[in-house]
Amino acid sequence: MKIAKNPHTNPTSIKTRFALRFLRAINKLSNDNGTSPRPLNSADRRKRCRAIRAASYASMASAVGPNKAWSRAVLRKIRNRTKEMIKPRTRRGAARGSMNPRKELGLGQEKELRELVPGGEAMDFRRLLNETGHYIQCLRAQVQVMRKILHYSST
Amino acid sequence: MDPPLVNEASFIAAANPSSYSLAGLLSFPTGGGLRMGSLGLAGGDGSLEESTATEQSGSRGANGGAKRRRDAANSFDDTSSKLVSTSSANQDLNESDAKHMKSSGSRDENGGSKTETEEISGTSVKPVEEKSTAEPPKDYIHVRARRGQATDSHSLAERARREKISERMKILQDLVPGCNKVIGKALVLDEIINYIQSLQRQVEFLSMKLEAVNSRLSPTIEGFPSKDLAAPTFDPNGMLYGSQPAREYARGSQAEWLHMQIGSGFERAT
Repeated sequence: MKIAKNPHTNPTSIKTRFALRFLRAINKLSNDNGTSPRPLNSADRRKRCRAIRAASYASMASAVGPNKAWSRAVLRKIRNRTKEMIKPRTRRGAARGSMNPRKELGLGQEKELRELVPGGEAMDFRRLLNETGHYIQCLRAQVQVMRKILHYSST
Repeated sequence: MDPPLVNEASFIAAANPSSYSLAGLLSFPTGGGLRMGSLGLAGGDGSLEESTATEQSGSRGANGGAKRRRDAANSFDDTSSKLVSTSSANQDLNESDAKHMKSSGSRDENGGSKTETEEISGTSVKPVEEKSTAEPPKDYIHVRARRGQATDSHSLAERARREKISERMKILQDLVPGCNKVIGKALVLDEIINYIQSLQRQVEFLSMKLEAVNSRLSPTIEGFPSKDLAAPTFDPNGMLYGSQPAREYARGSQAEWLHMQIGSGFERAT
């Protein structure tokens, strides 16, 4: 592996594994689109954007491995339908973010959290909290790595 | 000979996802725990109901306990006919767990109930039960009733559960920035949900940005060495801009501006 040679990176850390997988996925995407002319219309771009987002979630899930319920849920979704795996979840989240019909009761929030964390529908509440913690950490790492990639490829 | 071979191969290929889904199914038994957990979370009522039920069965003796189990299994049948076996096993686990809590909490009152349940629940559930008996005693080490608090075993167990949840909640609070000052479970959950949503939105924005960059200079990412993540000395775009036409540069600068806007949005969000 390329990364193992570098002494500054830990090859077993989740960030590195995610970065490797994600870069590979982006490579594949850009290779697929390499033959066709650059997509200029917005529909194509949106599709590609969605594909990149799906690739990022998928590579994060596969970097985490099947030990966590949320990554298992994401991977299962990918296996079941490769095409639109992330779309429903994020769309729902966006809609909720705009309306924000939140109750003061704790139960509404718990339900919401179950919907946000992949695979959280069938979980003990304690386990849900554990998974949420891990999911937050992984999402944060994902955002950091993606920002870094963007930074180095755009400056 | 060929077609069967192909079939077999495809079957093996299909076997992987199936094993995967089996793993997913294996994770389901905790779903039975969820039922109980969410019941308890709905308020004191759920757990109270549970406790009275177990108490009844404990006092009624072996027959009553068996009957109750059958009733429970039947009700599970009604609600979900698919997961009969697993759900009934879960029911057993839950029940034995609850009974154990009960019996270990007040051993001198009805010490016979534990052995009764163990006799009833049979041999198939034995290992699971032993696992569950290994766990609960931990609760009783650090959960003590303070003055004025209820001391019966069920409220003790409930208190232990609540304490564990609040412990988890505290860890989450440390994880989410700006969540330490918030008091109250609902508000903390609100903060956590907001944070997750903002992170997911950031992922969305970043993938949008990456798409723009990717379509602009797809050869860059192709030759992008992943070790640049750690050692950011190599700048691949320096040479690329020379070969790029001017109109693409203009597009790039526009994207740059957009990026700056989004970036400031991130600063506010995090």
